Amino acid sequence: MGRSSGVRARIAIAIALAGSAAVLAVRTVHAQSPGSNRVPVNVMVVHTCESERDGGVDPRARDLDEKLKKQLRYKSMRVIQQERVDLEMNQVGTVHLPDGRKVRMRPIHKDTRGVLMAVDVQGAVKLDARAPNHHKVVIGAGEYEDGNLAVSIEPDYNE
Amino acid sequence: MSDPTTRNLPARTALLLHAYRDGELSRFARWRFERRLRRSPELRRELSALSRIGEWVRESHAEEGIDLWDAIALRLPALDARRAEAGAARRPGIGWLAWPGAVATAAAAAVFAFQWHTPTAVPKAARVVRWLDSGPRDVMVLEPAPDTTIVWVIGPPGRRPPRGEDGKV
Repeated sequence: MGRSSGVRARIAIAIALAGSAAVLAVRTVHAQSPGSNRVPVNVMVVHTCESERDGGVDPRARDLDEKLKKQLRYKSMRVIQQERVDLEMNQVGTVHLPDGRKVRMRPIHKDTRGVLMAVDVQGAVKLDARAPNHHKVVIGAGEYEDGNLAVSIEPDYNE
Repeated sequence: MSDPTTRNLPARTALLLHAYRDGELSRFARWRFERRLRRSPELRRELSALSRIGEWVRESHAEEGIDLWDAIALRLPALDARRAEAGAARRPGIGWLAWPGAVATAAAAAVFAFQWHTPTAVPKAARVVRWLDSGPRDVMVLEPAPDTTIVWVIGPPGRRPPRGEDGKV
């Protein structure tokens, strides 16, 4: 009887230690993740147009079109520029718009809620946004030719 | 054969007496010894005494066996109870707390790990955009989908956004 109690107590202690060790191990792996301080950002610059002269929606912008077409009026959407900017914390990344203006972005802070980024679309708007991973922030950059420019910024990092 | 009952008998007679009593004599020897028993009162007394001693020994053996077993049998449960009490006194509360403790610890670890690694709910558009400066121009913040926020600058200041019949900007 006493012997079985001792065995049970040892099993309980072993389970508790194993659970603690697992949590600590996962925490350590996350803390020491090599890419934890880097924030890759997918940037897409699109031109929305009220005419269909550009042939409808660019296949590369299909996903963005699904989100925008319910809110904005346009008939065609073409991708002008698409790139992936790999930024460190507080590093400024710059993307050039076709009219010569610049889009600057700087990740300020990252946690479980997402990445806090400062974005400056030259001549249009400045903003701070806390975007969760894979959350698209689409910013209207003003008129361009017979339509509008829009910049989509999407953090895309390993959690 | 030097027991007290046959001390006064010759050695051979004592030997015969014991052999007779134990049934070890042949039929002829037994007949001859019984003839001596009938003639000798002393020999009959010795045989009677020897028989009584045998009965006492058997009785004492039998009584001793019963007493020992009964005593042991009666003491066994008491010994077990004493051992159980001693075990419980040495480890108060540990035995019955072991498994609940293990389950509680494992559950706490699971909840802790779940909370740690579960991403927070997607915030609303207003929570995504924390600060905004559009200068003199109006701006509109929309959330067309849980994973998309639109920040749209609308023309010159003070001018309402042009909307079509479908409500689109």
